Amino acid sequence: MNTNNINQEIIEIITTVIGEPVPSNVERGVLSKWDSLRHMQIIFSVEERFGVQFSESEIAQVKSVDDIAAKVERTK
Amino acid sequence: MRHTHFIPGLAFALRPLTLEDAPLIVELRTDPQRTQFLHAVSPSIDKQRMWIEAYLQRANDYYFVIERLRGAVPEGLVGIYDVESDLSGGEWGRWILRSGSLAAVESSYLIYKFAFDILKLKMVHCSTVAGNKAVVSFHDSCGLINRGIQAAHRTLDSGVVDTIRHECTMEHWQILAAKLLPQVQLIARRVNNSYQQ
Repeated sequence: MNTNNINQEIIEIITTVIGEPVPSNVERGVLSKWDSLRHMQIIFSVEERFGVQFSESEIAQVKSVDDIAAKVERTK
Repeated sequence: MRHTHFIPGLAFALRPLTLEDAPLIVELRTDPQRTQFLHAVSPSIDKQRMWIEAYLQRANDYYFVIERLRGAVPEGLVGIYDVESDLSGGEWGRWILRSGSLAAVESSYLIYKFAFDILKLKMVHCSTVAGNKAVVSFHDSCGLINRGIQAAHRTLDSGVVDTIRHECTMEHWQILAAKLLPQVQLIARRVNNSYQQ
């Protein structure tokens, strides 16, 4: 799976959790609806979709599509 | 007030605040990144001890430290106060977590559990500074009832601000619990596994 496909799938996950379309450069801390509860829902959905697992510190650190995609690519 | 309520969860717990927690309060509540939407507190630990002494004498006010169960590591603070003597309601707040903490979901779950299952309150509410959009969204995401803006409701260092009021009734708590508990369980599994690593 190439980077663009990974990013697109992550955006789809975030869109589903947030409940509305999000831009490709969406960031936690900028989009207010990306709150603590939804952040965990996004993380767990990404883990299930890509078969990866974020550590506790990684969960706290990832704030953007690129951050999440980087983790997915590191793990693959 | 001085109390002995210990509310254990799956990865975190609420334990009573004591005088010895004065440095923790100062540490958390003087962090500029964490306190933009809270009342300022003095950086003096002695003054914080005085505040805690007064709190311990105050009725109907329950202040907790949010602690990681494994290792008893403090991760934040939360409280319920202005509890009505007829148990008709109370307000929860003073909620602050260390940067990077995963305790948000479970600590909110536990404060509701305390309010409804232990205190037997009929309703709890919280008032969030309207500009604190992530926390307003968190309460909306949890499924609390959004009662809208309370204009000029709070005074911070920055001035008078609007707040957003959210409510949960005892009846609504069952719905909220069903929504939050699966997330609490998933997060706890991760937090507890991290401790072992």
